[in-house]
Order: sequence, then structure tokens, then C-alpha cells
Amino acid sequence: MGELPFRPVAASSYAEDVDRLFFVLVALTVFFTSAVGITVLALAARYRRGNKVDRSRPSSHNTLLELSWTIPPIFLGLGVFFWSAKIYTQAYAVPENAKEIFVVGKQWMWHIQHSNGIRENNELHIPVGEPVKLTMISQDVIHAFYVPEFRLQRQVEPGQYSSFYFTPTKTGRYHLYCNMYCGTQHSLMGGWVYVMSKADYQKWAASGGSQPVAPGGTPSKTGGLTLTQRGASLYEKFQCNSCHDPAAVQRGRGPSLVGLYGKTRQLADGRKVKADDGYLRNVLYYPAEYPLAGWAVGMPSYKGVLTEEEVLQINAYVKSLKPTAQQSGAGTGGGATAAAAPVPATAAAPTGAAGAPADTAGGNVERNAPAANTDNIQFRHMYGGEQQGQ
Amino acid sequence: MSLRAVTAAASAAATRGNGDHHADDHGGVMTPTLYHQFEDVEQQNESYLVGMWTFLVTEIMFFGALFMAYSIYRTAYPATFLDAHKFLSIPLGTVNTLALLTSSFTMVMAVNANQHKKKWSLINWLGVTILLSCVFLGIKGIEYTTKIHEGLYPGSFNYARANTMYLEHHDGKAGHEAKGIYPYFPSVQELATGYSLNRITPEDPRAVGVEQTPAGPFTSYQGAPSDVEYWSKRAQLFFSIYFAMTGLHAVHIIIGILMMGTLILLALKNHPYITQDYMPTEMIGLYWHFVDIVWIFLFPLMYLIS
Amino acid sequence: MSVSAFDPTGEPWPDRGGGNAAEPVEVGIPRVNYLNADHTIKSWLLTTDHKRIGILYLISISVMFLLGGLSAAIVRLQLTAPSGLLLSAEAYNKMFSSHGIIMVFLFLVPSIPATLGNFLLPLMVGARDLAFPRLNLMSWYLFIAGGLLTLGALTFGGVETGWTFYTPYSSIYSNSNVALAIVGIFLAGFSSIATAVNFIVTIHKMRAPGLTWFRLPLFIWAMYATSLIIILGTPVVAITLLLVVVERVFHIGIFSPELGGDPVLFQHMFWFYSHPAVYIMILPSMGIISEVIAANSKKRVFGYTFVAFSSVAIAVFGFLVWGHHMFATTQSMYASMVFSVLSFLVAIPSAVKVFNWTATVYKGSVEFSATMIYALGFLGLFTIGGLTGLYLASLATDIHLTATYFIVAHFHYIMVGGAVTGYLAGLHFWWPKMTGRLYPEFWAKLSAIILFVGFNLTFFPQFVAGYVGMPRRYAFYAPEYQIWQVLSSAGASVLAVGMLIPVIYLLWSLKYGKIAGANPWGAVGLEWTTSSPPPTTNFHEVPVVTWEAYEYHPIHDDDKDLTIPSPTAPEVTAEERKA
Ligand code: HEA
Ligand code: HEA
Ligand code: HEC
Ligand code: CUA
Ligand SMILES: [Cu+2]
Repeated sequence: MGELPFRPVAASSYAEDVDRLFFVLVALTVFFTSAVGITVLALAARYRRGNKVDRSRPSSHNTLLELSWTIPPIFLGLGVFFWSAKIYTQAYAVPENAKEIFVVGKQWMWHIQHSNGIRENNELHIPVGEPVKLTMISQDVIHAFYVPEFRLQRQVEPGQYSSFYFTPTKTGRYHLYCNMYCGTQHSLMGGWVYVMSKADYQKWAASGGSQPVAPGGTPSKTGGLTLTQRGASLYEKFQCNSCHDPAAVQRGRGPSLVGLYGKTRQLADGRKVKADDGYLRNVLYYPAEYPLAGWAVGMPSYKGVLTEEEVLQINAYVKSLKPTAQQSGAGTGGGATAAAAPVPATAAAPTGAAGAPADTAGGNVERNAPAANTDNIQFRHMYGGEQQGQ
Repeated sequence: MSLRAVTAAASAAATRGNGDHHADDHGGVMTPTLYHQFEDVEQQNESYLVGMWTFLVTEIMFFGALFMAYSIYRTAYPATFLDAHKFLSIPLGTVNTLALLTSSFTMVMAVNANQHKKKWSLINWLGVTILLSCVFLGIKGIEYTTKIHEGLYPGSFNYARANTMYLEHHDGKAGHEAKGIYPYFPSVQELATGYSLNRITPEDPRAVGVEQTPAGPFTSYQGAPSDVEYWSKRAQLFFSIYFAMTGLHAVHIIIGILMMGTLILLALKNHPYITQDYMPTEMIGLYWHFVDIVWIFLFPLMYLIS
Repeated sequence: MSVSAFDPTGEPWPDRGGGNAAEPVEVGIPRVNYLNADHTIKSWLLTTDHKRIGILYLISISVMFLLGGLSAAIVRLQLTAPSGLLLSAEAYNKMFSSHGIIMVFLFLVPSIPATLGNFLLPLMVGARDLAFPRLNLMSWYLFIAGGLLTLGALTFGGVETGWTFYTPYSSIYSNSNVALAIVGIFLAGFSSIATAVNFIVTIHKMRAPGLTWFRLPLFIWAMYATSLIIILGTPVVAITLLLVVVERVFHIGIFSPELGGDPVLFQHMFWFYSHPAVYIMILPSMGIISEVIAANSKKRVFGYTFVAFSSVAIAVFGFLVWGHHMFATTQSMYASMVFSVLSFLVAIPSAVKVFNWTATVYKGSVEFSATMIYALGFLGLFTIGGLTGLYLASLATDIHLTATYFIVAHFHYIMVGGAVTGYLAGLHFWWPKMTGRLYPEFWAKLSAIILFVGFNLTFFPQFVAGYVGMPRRYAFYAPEYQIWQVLSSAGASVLAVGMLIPVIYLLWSLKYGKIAGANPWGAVGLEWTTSSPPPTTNFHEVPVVTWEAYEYHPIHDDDKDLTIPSPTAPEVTAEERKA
């Protein structure tokens, strides 16, 4: 659609559709407001006291008239509803190949983990034209992830994953806002979303996102691991494999997690649940609420042990467990170490980044915006300029 | 109201405002005080009724919100609710239910007595009702103290303590205690003896590499101290709702007792509210039935989960 | 006592009040009326007269409005600069929270029902008082207690949760004075419930002989629908907020995910009340607008039954759409769709009202009085506000616009442009009845126009700011939004002037205003048949109603022969009206 004054950049697949609907609604508003306004003013002027006009046979009810102005708005309303619902479902129809990015919100910053291991704070770098799926959770209160140029937002709640998907269509730098009131520095909880050309993005990813983009960002000595790799090491550290040995052939103490993601699980109390991100998280935190049919409940709770960030990492690893040919075939895979036996679906092998595409080439840099006393820095970062107030 | 009121107005005018009410103990004719805004007694009484019912609707919504919270969490966490409710005592709950049901009956009798202008009968029935509600409160008090004793009170839902207590209370008894509170979780006995990895002995080849935890009631396996904490918190949800709902209900009972006490005082003083009118008693009766009905819902939802 | 039954057979302008005014045709303030019946302070503080309680409410609520307006002024001042003109982030958060909490819970929800409703309802149904006068007085004390507690909490320590009190922020994280404020709101809620119970009983049981449901003024229908919402919704929010307090104090975990609860449940329970609550705020105004347009057009409201039932429809269906505030949460997509389609349907009764008001003017005899200007302003602003509600009801646009300034503009258009404008219209319309004096018409017209202009200047830019993505509840913001915020602040100062003028001339008129007489507007309705101000018992004789609502004189070609005097004339006599 054409450029209209004040119209912010439409930078996602979704934005164009929303704007079209928006301006149709504007047209409807103008139409109805002026219809009502002009009619009532014209009538009032014509029938103002002292004006000599025909006032004979005034009517005070007319059912046909009532129906004729009740029914069209109903259909108009339903029309708008269907159109908007159709657009809305897009945000849920996540394509298979969507690039998954994990977002943890906390008072008052955004922490973002890419699946290739790059982590950033208050910034998000994504390549143009590639569908992106955000999986988000909060560590404290409710926040909301909002990028006006994408015309999208979603609340980020504690205790529950929320997600949405979009495809950025225009390169540029866009505001990232927290749009759910979350306390004192709500208005400073944000930063920028960089939509980069594919080439730029590759460069950025290869360098581990090392451009000094975040305020006060300091390179970290650790790191270099992808999300899945971090998950794998946590899997070992917390001895998940003692019950869920990915390589085991015979029945272990817990069910095998290989190929679990996306399956439907039958629970002992008759419920059926889909093994999605939320399920994986909840099982870790509240295993007893998910008594898997055929298994005695014996899984400990990791509530208070694993942080939300770590859960995201473990989940990335669990999701990567796909059955290998070797396993489904001969079934002699025992003995291999937990992390190495099944080939994780992402190309990042734990032994190193050799041969991995640039996209997943491991970030070496972990950026941490200092948490306290960042008022002014953060203000400058989000809005530019100096803060005068206070 | 219709034009009926016009005709009624004449008779109403006779009673309006004149303060002297002859105590007519045998005729059964009531001449309640007519307030200035009303035309006649009939209108006044109907207004009271509509007012009371409207108020009860707000009460229903008041409790309704809590019932909604309850059902949402129960569907979300069926296992926890099933387990946690076992800490409640069904016998005590049943006694309480019976007490309240009976008190509803005695309340009906009280209203009836008032309508027939039987002063002492009214006082007696009200007395019995108060007595029954005190029984109810007393038992609630016992239940609350047990919960507090077990460490299951707002702010400290101590699963560990509760489980030990439970073990102490029920050890050696046959019946549903055998498995402890949490069927999906180590039974109480197991916990007491030091729970070992879902009934897998250290000799089991699958246990290789798994650290054994020292014995003791509440050391859970795998060095995950969060277990106890986690169970407490989940159970806490159940008990939060339990305390919120039964607490609110108990407040209503107390208010009811106070109002019935006032009625008895008024009756003793031969106040026209009682001698010339039965609406105050009937209104309080309505309220009492409502409080009763709330409990009829609370009891199965809290005590009889299956 | 006797009852005067009047049979107006064959007479187009029945004399509805002759026997009812203190002295049949009275020029001047009646010697004895509810205002001067007794002068002691005690007689006011312990009054059970619904009219006096209405006045007590009017005073307290005006104070609330000025306080809320003052915080709005500070909010607007802060927002003139992207980096904030005068407040720290924390102080700003407290300021807009105070603004929202005061305006919603302490001003707009009780405003019309407790002031005009209290005053007019018995008059309009021909009763001597509400059914439970002492309950009515208690409700005022509850309101004062709640109001003082809340104001205390807002002043000492402050509250910084926004008016929505979202958990877990309000229940765990915020270290401001949340609990106290909530207890205050809880009490104020019970004062609303008491008022609503009173209204429902009075409307059901105490209508004058012959005053059937379909002869009731539409204002009464609106009050009835409002009361329904109050008794069904307020207890839910009361218990919800109470749970927040309990969670803060005892750390029980109903809403806090750390304790096993679900923060979104709070939103469900909150909006289950607070969406219907927005209709608590607008329905009474709609009732007023019906009265004002009819009286100023000298015509029966078009489609009376449709307008009456649309109020009830709004009240009932209003309870089914709360989820439209939660499209951006984890609420399931299908639930969102249901809430969305229902929101479109709940807009229809409002549309019916708007169209019927428009049609009422047709073939009327329209007086462009101040009240009519207010009513016309209401029509335009409410339509815009309502239609922009549809942007938010449609899923796709909502997840762009939610929690931006677009929403702020939406609800101010309805709540200030609609509800407050309607309230002012009603206040002016019945001012003569309440005080016995007329306000200066010129100043009233002037302020109505200033308000309209100032209002649009204040809040229209916010639509744009929201569409381009400025989040609400931001103490600091990106410079590209400044232009809209500055325009808005400029408008707010015009608006403030528009609000101050009525304060001045209404107070002035108490002493210096022209004597109004029983029926300065030549309006019909039982309240105009008694003297202004009315006697303590409202009517000297119980009126018997034999006519329909809004039975205005059919006006023929030339209304010169219609002797409706200008508002300054002292009194319309029965003879004059019959002419
Ligand atoms: C008096 C107050 C009031 C009223 C009456 C309304 C009325 C409506 N509101 Fe509004 N609303 C608020 C006050 C109010 N609102 C507040 C305070 C908030 C924000 C709360 C917060 O988060 O702080 C809010 C937020 C809000 C949201 C949530 C947005 C979000 O958080 O994401 C939505 C979403 O659907 C919405 C929709 C509507 C609709 C559809 C109506 C409808 O009832 C409007 C109906 C009226 C009309 C439609 C106009 C007249 C009709 C015509 C002229 C005919 C043409 C009609 C058609 C073609 C259908 N409102
Ligand atoms: C009845 C409801 C009501 C009313 C009448 C108003 C009236 C006004 N509101 Fe309010 N507003 C809300 C309900 C209301 N508001 C709510 C519910 C919120 C959401 C809060 C939240 O997010 O939690 C909100 C939020 C809100 C914001 C957004 C804050 C933010 O999100 O960061 C803004 C910003 O401009 C604003 C402005 C105004 C203005 C300028 C007026 C004007 O109309 C006020 C005009 C009145 C006066 C000015 C008073 C009269 C004059 C005087 C007392 C003289 C002194 C004044 C001067 C010298 C200037 N309001
Ligand atoms: C003491 C044994 C044990 C340990 C240690 C353990 N689990 Fe489990 N796990 C189980 C059992 C038993 C089940 C099945 C019953 C249930 O759901 O509670 C299970 C179920 C699961 C499921 C759901 C599987 C399905 O098929 O739906 C997931 C996912 C899972 N565990 C992940 C983990 C992770 C990740 C870890 C380590 C951080 C871990 N588990 C540690 C015993 C264990
Ligand atoms: Cu985070 Cu607002
Ligand atoms: Cu709403």
C-alpha cells in the first residue's frame, strides 16, 4: 500500500496486512462519524426552534428503520472480524523452517539467545526475509515484546512460554519496547531490533555478534557454545542421562527423550498433551503434574535448580535428539556418551564448529548490559540524546 | 406495583408513622413499622425481599469468583489437588456438613415461630441454630489448628512437616494411608526411611552413577532440594484456596451468628421488629440458607476430590 | 393521605404538577425545601434524604475529579519532553496510577449513579425516597472511608501499579502502598453495591401508580442496567483485589507463578469486572443523553423500546467480552476469536442508541442550549471512541495497538468525551432542579465548546502517537513522538480551562443565578412536576401516572404558538403549556 503520512515503516509480512485493515477501519470510522455528525447537525439546524418547517406527523418509532440500521452494522462487524481473524492466525502459523530465538524478559531488560549460541541484551539481530519464531518467558513479572514496525507484540509471562512468529521484510533498525507495565523502569526496558541483509547477518553471526552494539557490552571469556551444546552439557551436569540416556536401548528409569519433541503424550490421568516447548519446561519444573502413562513418577523437580535460561538450553538439546539410523537399526548403540551418541539435529556437533554453516558458527561473545545504574546509558541507547529530567 | 397501591394507600395511611404497636400475642396480626418511603406494608416487605435477593446475588458472585479460581487450578493441576486434599479430614467435614444442614432446618423453624408470634419458640430455635453454628466454627477451628500445626498455613506450606505429622498420625493404620499422601511421589514410609530412587536399589545396574542420598525423612534424591520446596508450593495453591474459601465462609457464619444473637436480644426486649414483624427474621433466615448452600458446594469440592 | 389521580383525557398537555409543586404555581425558591429544611451540619451528615446524599456525593466526587485532573495535568506536563519534564520514572508511574485509580474507582464509576442517580431516581419514579435510605447513607460513608484510604495510600508511599493492578507485579514485586489502596477500593466497591441494591429495589417496587416499565424515563432504564452490572461484577473484582492483598501479606500463591499460581487468571478475573465496569461508566451518561436530547428537541425519544432494551443488552452482553483485553497474552487463539466476535456484537446496542438519538432530532423543535451542545458533543466523541474500540476488538489490529497510546485515546474519547461530557450535560440539565437556580447560559455554552475543542486537541494526537507505536505508561519516550505529546499537552491546557469555567459559574450561580422555577426547560418527567428544589418528601401527593414517557407536545408547522419559554423565564404555568 502507498505511503501515507505518519505511517511507520511496515517491516514484517504481517504489517502490510494489518495496515490495510487499519485504514479500512479508519475509513469506516470517518464514514460513520460524519454520517452521524452531519445528520444530527443538519437535522438540528433544520428543526431548530423558531424555524418554520413541516413538523407534522412526527414519528417516534419505526421497526423497519430500526432493523435497517441494526443489521448492516452486524454484518459489517462480522466482516471485519473475519478479515482480522484471518490475518491474526498468521502469527500462529509458524512455518517449519522458522529460525527459533529465545527471549527471556526480566526487570528491566531483554535477554536474547540465538540457537547458534549468540546471546545479546536489549538487541535482536535477524536476517531479512527469514521467518523468525520467538519463544519467550519472563523471570519475574509480565512484560511484553513489542516492535511497532512489525505491528506485533505479545506478553511475556512468568511461568509460561508465549511465542509469535513473523518474517521481517525490510532491513533497518527498529525500536524494541517492553509494552506491559512492569515497574519503575518500564519505559527504559527496550532497545533495538536490527534487520540485516543476509550478507551482513552472516558477517555478524560469524564474528559472534561482536560489533559493540549493546551499551556497556563486555565480551565474555566463556562461551563459544551453541544453545544445543550448552544444553548438552547441562544435561550431563544434572545427570538427566541417568534416567534418560539418549543412547540406551533398553528401558531406562525414565522414558527416552529421543524424538520426543512434537509428539503427543498420553498421560496416566487420561489427558493428552503435545510435547511442545511449554511441555518440556513444565515437566522439568512440575513433573508430577504430567504422569506419563506407563511410567511410575519418579522424575525430580528442577524448580529452583534450573533457571529459565537453562531450561531453554536443555530444551534445545532435547529437541535436537532425533533417532539416528544406527539406533533405529541394530540397536547396539550403548556405551557411547550421552551427549555424543544421537546426532543432534542442528549441525553443531559438540566437538567443534568445523563444517557448520556460518549461521550457527557459535558466538564467542556474551554481552551483558550492566544491570544497575544504567538509567542514562539505557536512555541514550533507546532514545538517543541525554536525559534531562530528575 | 400497579394501581393496587392506590387502593392500598388508604389502609396504609392508617398504620403510617404511628408508633404504638399493641403487642397482640394471640391474634397473629402483625403491624410492622411502616417507613415513610413506602406506601404499605406489602410494598415494604416485597422491597425487603427483592433487596435481600439482590444482595444474595452479589454474594453468589463474590464466592463465584473463588469457585472459578478453584476450578481453573483444579483442572490445571489435578494431581496436586487430589493429593493435597487428603490432608483434610473427611469425618470432620461430614460432621460440619450435618451441623450446617440441621441449622438450616432450625432456622426455618425459627422463622416459622416468629410468624406465629411464638416468642420463646423463636428464641429457642435461634439458640439451637447458634449452637450448631458454634459447633461448626469449633470444628473448623480444630481443622485450622491441625493445618497450622502441620505447617500448612498461608506463608508456610511445609510439606515436609505435614508429611511427617501425617506419618505420625497414621502410621500403622490400615487403609488409604498406606501409600502416603502423594501416590506419584515417595510414600510416607519411604520418605521416613530415606527415599531411594524410585524403588531402585543401588545394586541395580541402572543406578550406576547416581548418588545416593543419606537417609532421613526429607532428603530427596539427586541432591535436588527443590523437591520439598516444590511440593510445598504446589500444595500451597490448594491450601491457599482452601483457606480463602473456607475463611470467607467462616466470616459469613460469624456475621450470621451475630445477627441471630441480635434477633434473640430483640425478642427478649419484645421489640416490634419481632413482635410486630417477621421480616428481619426471615431476611436473616435467607442469608443463613445461602451460607449453608455455599458450604454444600465447598464440602465436596474440598474434601471429596476423586 | 390522599392520592391525586389526574385524567388528562383529550388534553395534549396534561398538567402533571399542579397539585404537586409546593404551591401550585410558584415563582421563586419554595419556602421549605430539602436544602433549607434543616441547617445543622449534623442534619447533613446524618441525613437519609436521597437528595441530600446525592449532594454529599456530588461534593465528594467533584473533589475526586479535581484531584484526578490535577494528576492528569502533571502527567501531561511530564510528557512534553521525551526525557521527562519534571518527574523521575518512579514518580511518573505513581502519578499516572493515581490518575487512573482516582478517575476510575473514585470518580467515574460512582459519578452519575451516586450523584444524579441518587438525586433523581426517586423523583423520576415518583417515590418519596429510595427503598433503604439508611443503606444509602451508609454507602456514602463507605465511599468516604474507601476514598480516604485510597487517597492516603496514593499520597503516602504511593501506588505504582497502574489502575489495573496486574499480578505478579502488584502482588509480589511492587513495593508501593498497594494493599492499602486496594482496601480503599474494596470499600468504595461496596458503596457501589449498596447503591445498586437500593436502585434495583426502588425501580422494581416503588414506582408510582401507573408508572409501568415502559413509561419509565430512559435514564431509569440506564440506571437499572448499571445497577445490574454493579451487583454482578463488583463482588468479583472485590474478591480478586482482596486476593492480591492476601497474596501480598501472606504470600499465598494464587496469582504468583513462583508460588504455583497463574498471573493471567488475575487478568481474567479483573476484566470480568472491569470490562462491564466500562459500561457502568457509560450507561448512565447514555441515559442522560436520552433525557437531554428529548427535552431539547421537545420530542419523544425515537425507538423508546429499542433504546431501553439496548441498555439491558449492553449490561448482559458486556459480561461476555472481557477477554478482549487479553489478546496479547497466552490466551488461546480460539478463545481470543470468540471474545473478538462478541466484542463486535456488543457494539451493536450502542450503535442502536446513537442512531435513535439522531432520529429523535428529526421533526423536533431543537433548542441549541448548553445541554444540547454537550449532548451533541457526546454523540460525536462517543461515536469516535466507540468505533476506535472496534480497532481493538479486531484481533489483527489489536496486537499492534494494544497498550499503546491508541488505547489511551480510545478510552479517553469514551470516558471523557462520552461519560464526562454526559455527566456535565446532566449536571447542567438538573442543576436548576437541585439548586433552584439557573446557571448562566452563555458561559455554559462557551465552556461546552471550549471543552469540545480542547478535548479533541488533547486526545486526537494520541491516536496517531499510538498508531506509530508509542507505548503507554512510559515516563520517557523516543523523540519522534514528541510532536504528538506536545500537541496533546497543549490541548490539555485548553481542556483544563474548559473544566474550570463550569466550576466557577456553577458555584457562582448558587448565590447569584436566576431563580429557576419548577420546570425551566419545559421538560416532562415526574421530577419536573415538583418544585425546585424539591421538598424533603419530594411530592406533596403521590403522583399517579397516566401518560407515556416523553409525551411532548406534538409540534405543528409553526411553533410560534408553542409557548415554551426561554430558560430564563421563571416558570411554565399549566395554563401556558395547555395553550
Ligand atoms: C466508558 C468506557 C468504555 C466504553 C464504553 C468502551 C467501549 C468499547 N471498548 Fe473499550 N476500553 C476502555 C473503556 C471503554 N471502552 C478502557 C478504559 C480501556 C483500557 C483499559 C486499560 O487497559 O487500561 C478499553 C480497552 C478496550 C479494549 C482492549 C484493548 C487492549 O487492551 O488491547 C478493547 C478491545 O476490544 C475495547 C473495545 C471496546 C468496544 C468494542 C467498545 C464498544 O462498546 C463500543 C461501542 C460503540 C460504538 C461502536 C460506536 C457507536 C456505533 C456507531 C456509530 C455505528 C457503527 C457501528 C458499527 C459499524 C459496528 N476497549
Ligand atoms: C474517568 C476517567 C478519566 C478521565 C476523566 C481522564 C482525564 C484525563 N486524562 Fe486520563 N486516564 C484514565 C482515566 C481518565 N482520564 C485512565 C483509567 C488511565 C490509565 C491509567 C493507567 O495506565 O493505569 C488514564 C491515563 C492517562 C494518560 C496516559 C498516561 C500513560 O499511559 O503514561 C494520559 C496522558 O495524557 C491522561 C491524560 C488525561 C487528561 C489530560 C485528562 C483530562 O480530561 C483531565 C481534565 C481535567 C482537569 C484538568 C481537572 C480540572 C481542572 C483543574 C483541577 C485545574 C488545575 C489544572 C491545571 C492548572 C492544568 N490520562
Ligand atoms: C530419577 C530419574 C530421572 C531424572 C534424574 C530425570 N528424569 Fe526425566 N523423567 C523420569 C521419569 C520416570 C519420567 C516419566 C514419568 C513422568 O513424566 O514423571 C520422566 C519424564 C521426562 C520427560 C517427559 C518425557 C515424555 O516422554 O513425555 C522429559 C522431557 C524429561 N523427563 C526430561 C528430563 C531432563 C531434561 C532431566 C535432567 C535435567 C531429567 N528428565 C531427569 C525420570 C527422571
Ligand atoms: Cu518490562 Cu515493561
Ligand atoms: Cu473491554
